Amino acid sequence: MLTESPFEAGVLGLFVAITIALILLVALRPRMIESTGGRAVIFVALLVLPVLVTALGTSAHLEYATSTTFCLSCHVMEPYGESLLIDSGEHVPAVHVQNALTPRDHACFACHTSYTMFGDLQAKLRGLRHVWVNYLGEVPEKIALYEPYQNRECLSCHRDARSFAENEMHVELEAELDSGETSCLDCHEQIHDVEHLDSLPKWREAAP
Amino acid sequence: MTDSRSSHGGTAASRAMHRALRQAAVMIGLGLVVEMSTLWWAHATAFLVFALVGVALVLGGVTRYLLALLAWPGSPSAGT
Repeated sequence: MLTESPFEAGVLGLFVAITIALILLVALRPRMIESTGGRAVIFVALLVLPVLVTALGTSAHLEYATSTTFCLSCHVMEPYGESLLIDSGEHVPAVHVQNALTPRDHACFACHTSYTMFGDLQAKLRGLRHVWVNYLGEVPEKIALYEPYQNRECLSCHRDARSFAENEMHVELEAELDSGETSCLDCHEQIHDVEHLDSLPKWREAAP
Repeated sequence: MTDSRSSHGGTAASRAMHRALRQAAVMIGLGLVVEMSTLWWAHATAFLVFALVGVALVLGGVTRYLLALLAWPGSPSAGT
C-alpha cells in the first residue's frame, strides 16, 4: 500500500469497509429515505464517508508523490535516479543521497520542492503537460528545468550549517546567493550529468 | 416508518428518488473501489487513475445524490 503508516492504512481500510457496507445497504434498500433515520444513513453513506475516504486517499497519494519511487516510476526519470549512484565527490545529488544528507526515499522531493503539483499554478499546468507528453506525445531527448534552479532549495538546509558558514566564499557571496544573483550551481556545477552516465563509475548498481 | 415527505411526492417521485439513490450508490461504490485499488499501485499513473476515474466517479455520485435531493418533492427547495 502507498501509505507507510499501518495506523493510516487501518483507518482508511475501516472507513472504506463501513462506506461500502452502507452504500450496499442504500443500493438494496433505497426506500429507507422515507424515514428520518434512513435519510441520515443515506447522507452519511453517499456524502460524508465518500468525501472523507477520498480526502484520505488524496492525502496518501500526495504523500507518495514525494517519494523517490514515485518520481522514478516514469521511464524518462530513470537516468536521473541512476545519477544518484555516480561514484564521485563532485556530483551534488549523488553526494547528498549516498551520504544520506537527504532522505533516500524522498531524494527528488528534498531538492525539487516546487515541482509540478507541489508548485504554483503554472507548475501544476506543466505537470499536466508532462502527463500528456509522457503518454500521448513525444518526450524530448534532453529534458531540463523550466527555470533556473533556486538557491533557496540549497540554503534551506545549508545556511545554518557550520561547513557553509565557515566557508569564506559563501560568506562573501551571501547577499548574492540570497538574491539569486549568483547561483549555487555556478560553482557546484556537477549535477545529474545524465549525458555522461554510461562512462561514470557507480557506487553500487542497486537503486538507492 | 414513513413520514409525510413520501406522501407529498407520490409514487412516481419516490421511484425516481430510489433510482437516483441506486445510481449514486453504484457510482460512489465504483469510485471508491477504483480509488482503493490505486493505493496498491506504486506508479505515477496510479495518481492519475485515482484523480481522473476514482474521484470523478465519487463526485459524480455525490452530485447525483444532491441533485436528486433538490428535485425530490419532499425537499424544502422543491416544495416552494
